[in-house]
Amino acid sequence: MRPLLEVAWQVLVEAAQRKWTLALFLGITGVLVLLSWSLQLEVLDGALAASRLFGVVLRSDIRAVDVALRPLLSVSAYLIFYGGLGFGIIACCDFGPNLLAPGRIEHLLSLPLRRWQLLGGTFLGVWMLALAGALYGSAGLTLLLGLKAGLWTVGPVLAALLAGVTFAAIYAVMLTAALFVRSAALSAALGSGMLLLGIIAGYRAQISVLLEPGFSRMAFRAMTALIPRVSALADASVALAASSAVELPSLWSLLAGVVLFGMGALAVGVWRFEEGDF
Amino acid sequence: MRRRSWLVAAAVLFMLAAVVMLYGQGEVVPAPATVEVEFPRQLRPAEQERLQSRRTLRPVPSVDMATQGRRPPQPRDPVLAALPQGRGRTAVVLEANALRHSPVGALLLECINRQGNQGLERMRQELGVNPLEDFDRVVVTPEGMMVSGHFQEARWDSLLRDASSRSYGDKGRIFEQPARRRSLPDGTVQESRAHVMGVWDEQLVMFGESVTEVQQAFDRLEGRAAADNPAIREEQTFGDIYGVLSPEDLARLVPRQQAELVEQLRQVGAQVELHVDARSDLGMVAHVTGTDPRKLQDVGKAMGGALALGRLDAQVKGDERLASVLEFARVQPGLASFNLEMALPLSFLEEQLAFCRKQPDAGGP
Repeated sequence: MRPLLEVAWQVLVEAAQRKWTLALFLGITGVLVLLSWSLQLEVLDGALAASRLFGVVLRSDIRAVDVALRPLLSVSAYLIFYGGLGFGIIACCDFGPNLLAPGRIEHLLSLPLRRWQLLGGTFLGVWMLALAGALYGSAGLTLLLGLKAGLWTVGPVLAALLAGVTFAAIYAVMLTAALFVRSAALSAALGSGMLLLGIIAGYRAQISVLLEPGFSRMAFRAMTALIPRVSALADASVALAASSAVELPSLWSLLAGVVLFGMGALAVGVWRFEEGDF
Repeated sequence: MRRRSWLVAAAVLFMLAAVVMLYGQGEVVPAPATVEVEFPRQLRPAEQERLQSRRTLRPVPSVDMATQGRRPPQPRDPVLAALPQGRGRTAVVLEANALRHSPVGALLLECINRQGNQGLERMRQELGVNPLEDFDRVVVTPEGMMVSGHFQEARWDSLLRDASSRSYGDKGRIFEQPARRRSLPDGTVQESRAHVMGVWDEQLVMFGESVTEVQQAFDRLEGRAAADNPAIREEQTFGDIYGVLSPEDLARLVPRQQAELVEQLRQVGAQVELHVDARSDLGMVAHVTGTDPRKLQDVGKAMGGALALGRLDAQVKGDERLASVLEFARVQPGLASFNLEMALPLSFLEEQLAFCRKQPDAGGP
């Protein structure tokens, strides 16, 4: 485990020196600071009596603060989820190709590390980075709403954790792709493709009934059965953020499936890494 | 060989992932779980039509009007014309026919059938009235009750057997049963209240305790008394239940724990116009007005806070049902008024009345 963590730490150190990472954390901080200055919430006995954003009245009806802020929490969860995935795909697409850069890979392979540890550590480092960003944003939002409206909810943090797990599966595919073709662009394209396919797979039941019964529907169902249900997890994260009802057995199964898919993609990557001649 | 095992592991993991995700998501399209409540806030086209069709009472034009060349008064809704006059009174109208054919009505009917509808059957046989078909509207006021509908076949004498009856006005008939005293075996004396029933044109039946009130209603219907300022105005007749509540009756309805709120309502002379829609989920709007618009805003905020606290309290006590109902509650402030909106999802009512669908011997209340 220790070699894995050491490699992950190196990835984090490298990430800290990148402008992308700095931009991510500055961006999240900027949004939170802006929100804290511009969002005014008048709370009375647990009811939101008025809310203003940049002085503009957002809503005037008076209702329980957690119910009134549900739309905000839902939008935030979607932003954290899809925004985090999109940003993660773009910002982290070159970690894999950089790992294999001539000169660097030889140095890494000369270290007393197994190849799977090297790959696993890189994966872990990038994942920790993405998770830290999502958690930073969601925890900041939780703190903001807690202080401004007295609404202390772990919903946004749970939503961020779901986004983190989903990103792990997508990044496993991106990292593995980099081992076949050392290209950051291809890695990003595959990540984006996985995101898109995952959105479709999440709504596969609804989409499949629109297809003609028979081969096309069967083929669609068979192909999407393997893909992580990104949109279903996004919807679950929104429900968690808004403290709405979530079918937990279903959520756990989807999460387990995503984790297994990510591990499978990583296993392919490890096979390729072990096979490769660098 | 060892390297190939990574590929085998990958294949197994992908297969497992697919199976687990299929289990988690299923192949069935999930039904939308959102509750769409229609809040009655104004007259809708169907209610406009209903309102027009109920203008059947043609007031007799006075001689003065004819000589002065003034236009004769417009036809009116007899139920509204019969209502007590003036603002600040309490009167609530239940659209019995619409409610009977609403999903909520169907649920309630199941409950009635489960308990055995002997009462309804007796009314049908003895009185010649079928409440489920013949009642159109039921009006409840502090003074009594009024039912509109089709009562051509009714045998009113059988309702108040020992009552005296007499005609009043052109189309009215009044049945009067005086208060009675009865000695019980234990020596105490039981006193029953006087009952008065008025029937007008076989379409309106009024129940009360005072002959004067029934007579006044007949006078309004037949043009002998002014009926131009009814407790409920035509433009307020939207929803399946609607009406107005006086400040006193409103204060009586607020729970005693909310004494401060009651006091605030009294101070601003709050009056409530109530509208309930039962076409799908129950949506209720209470339009609150008062004498002091600024204080009224504070009352609205206090009411919103009370609802939020009530929901929180229900959550703390584990009363998920109440909490879920209060989730839809909100206060919408206006310039000189505010609306209190609440919803009761049909699914909630179905859950509450689920015992009505069970066989009587299956256990249940």
